[in-house]
Amino acid sequence: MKRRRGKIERQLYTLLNRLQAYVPNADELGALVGYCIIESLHDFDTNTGSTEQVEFEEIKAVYNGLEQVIESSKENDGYTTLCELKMTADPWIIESLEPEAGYQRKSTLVQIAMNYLQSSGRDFQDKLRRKGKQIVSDVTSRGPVTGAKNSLSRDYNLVNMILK
Amino acid sequence: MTEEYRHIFIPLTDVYELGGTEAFKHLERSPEKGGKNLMVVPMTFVSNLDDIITREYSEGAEAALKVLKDLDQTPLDDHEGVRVSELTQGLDLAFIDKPALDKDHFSITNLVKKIQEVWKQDTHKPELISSRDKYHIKFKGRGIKVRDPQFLQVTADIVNEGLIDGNPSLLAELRQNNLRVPLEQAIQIMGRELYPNQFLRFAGKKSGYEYARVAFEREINPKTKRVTGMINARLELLRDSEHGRQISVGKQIRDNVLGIGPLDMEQYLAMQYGLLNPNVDLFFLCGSKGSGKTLMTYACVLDLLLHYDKGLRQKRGMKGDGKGGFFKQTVLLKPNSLMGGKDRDVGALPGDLYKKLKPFLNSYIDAHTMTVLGDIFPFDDLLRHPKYDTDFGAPRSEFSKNKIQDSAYLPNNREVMEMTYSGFMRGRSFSDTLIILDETQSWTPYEVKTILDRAGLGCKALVLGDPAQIDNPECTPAMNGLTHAINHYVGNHYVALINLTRNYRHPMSEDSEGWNAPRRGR
Repeated sequence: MKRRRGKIERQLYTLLNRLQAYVPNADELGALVGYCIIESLHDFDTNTGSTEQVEFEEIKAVYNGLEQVIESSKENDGYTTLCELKMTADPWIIESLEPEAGYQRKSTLVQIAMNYLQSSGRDFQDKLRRKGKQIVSDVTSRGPVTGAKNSLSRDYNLVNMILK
Repeated sequence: MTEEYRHIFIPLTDVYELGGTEAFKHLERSPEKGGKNLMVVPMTFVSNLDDIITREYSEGAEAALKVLKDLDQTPLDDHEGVRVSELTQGLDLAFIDKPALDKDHFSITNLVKKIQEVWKQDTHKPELISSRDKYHIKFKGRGIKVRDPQFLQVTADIVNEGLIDGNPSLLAELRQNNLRVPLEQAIQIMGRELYPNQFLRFAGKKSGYEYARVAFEREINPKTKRVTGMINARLELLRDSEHGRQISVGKQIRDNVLGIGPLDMEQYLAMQYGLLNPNVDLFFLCGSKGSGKTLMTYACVLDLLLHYDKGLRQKRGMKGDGKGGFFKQTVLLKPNSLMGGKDRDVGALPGDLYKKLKPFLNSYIDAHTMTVLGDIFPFDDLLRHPKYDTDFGAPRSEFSKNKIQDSAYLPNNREVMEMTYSGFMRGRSFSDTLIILDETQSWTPYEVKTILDRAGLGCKALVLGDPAQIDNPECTPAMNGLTHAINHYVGNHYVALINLTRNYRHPMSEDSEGWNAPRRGR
């Protein structure tokens, strides 16, 4: 009789594993993840009430973004997907990093990321890549998380901590 | 009356082991700030350091003890057993011995109490410094302040400094200005420092990434022949032809080196601008398992040692009419903890040395079989003398006299490769040698420093490693010989760094990450 394993929900570990199959270069993968987070959340908005629910919505938006990136990388390749992401995200990031921009960002994760990028000079591309790489590395070494709520919470906290 | 100190530090013995005399340098208070710091050294620590040196040699511990030995110790009035020495203008050292605190009653808690009794400071309680997590957990629980030795920590992210992502404005500027931009302008556009031999990568072209390099001419003193500076420093976009990844050594151009060619641009940059670059004397090559760093390094090192026929010698840019490769010999060094430590004792030398060291050479033996050399002679011929018996046994096989790719031979006057570990490096120095420091993430910073100290004229050091594969309990991703050495050296004109980020391995190897496989402790 087969041993029943705990169900592994949609989470960063499974998504990044799938993405890695199409993007073997760690630098490119890191850049894709970094840009995907920004792109998925830069116009994030929700009417959900509690802090925890908002956090869950944010990380689910990242999951959705990663799934789109996976599909695009499968169809084209990682490099093309990255170029497309950069085309949409770079102008927004550059504008947001202007001192007078004063954007109110609804997503905590993007707020944290932009605060970090603000201090990084004009090489935000490189910084995003490194943050993305760190996320991939930490998620991979942590391994899969069981339980839907647990995985949402732990994924959110991991991304939050790394983007700071 | 005791002096009022700004900060009182108690470094634990692991700080001395890892950093040697660096602790003294970094804990002193800078003259601009005024005031002084105090470093407390209980006699128990001095005994512990001595035990460490006796049990398993530590360069850092020995260096620290030497500094302590040379200090004049002035007894403190009204506090028997406490003696103070001035180390620098910004740092005093306090030795605490019996009867103030003897070995039988020694504990960190008692030490802190004693310090607070002697130096009644209202602000700035004494702080322990240690890299060991267990001490942080233990002493924080007792209300004692503990901090990491920040001066010994370098973020592992530094391995990414060799190849960074550039921004579109800079790429546009490069394209508009005949593919080059003065370095100062590039720095301004990027908003960050750029280093000699650093690479920038730009995404945007349909065909793939573009790469640029921080290039310069070396300013050489005509009398001493030493490089005194850099002139004409600029950022230069690599030509499209380089994306074909053909390797050039002087004017010799080929697809591969001893059968090993670069599989992607990162590997190409590592081979062309690092391993085979005559102007780079210290090259850091990082990458995880399966990235190809050992294989590429092995092929390039052997190529640089081979004796080529005259015509090719000149084409490759070798000086003089004589024989010989770019270097006389290569020395392969592995960490003490892997080879010479108590868990993996190689035993006394000499005697059947090859059999003892062979387990540590397996990655190079594998690399040898993947190059064209694997079909010509066995790996151990590189460790044997061409004519005489040595510690490695009989002379080389007859196969080693075969011509390699119709144009080169193994050196016939000495062993090609020597293998050793840091425990046997004392008193040695090298010239015209390719020094390979392997698995440098498992060296302590002090061990790497002592090796690179020994590089003489004509040497080139290749430092290989991966901060994710540390196999030494003394080291962490933030504190290891690899990241520390990169942090110290990067920025010099003779230094380059590449981190290989693409892996060429089976999915089962990739999937083994994230598997927290349990194992028995030793």
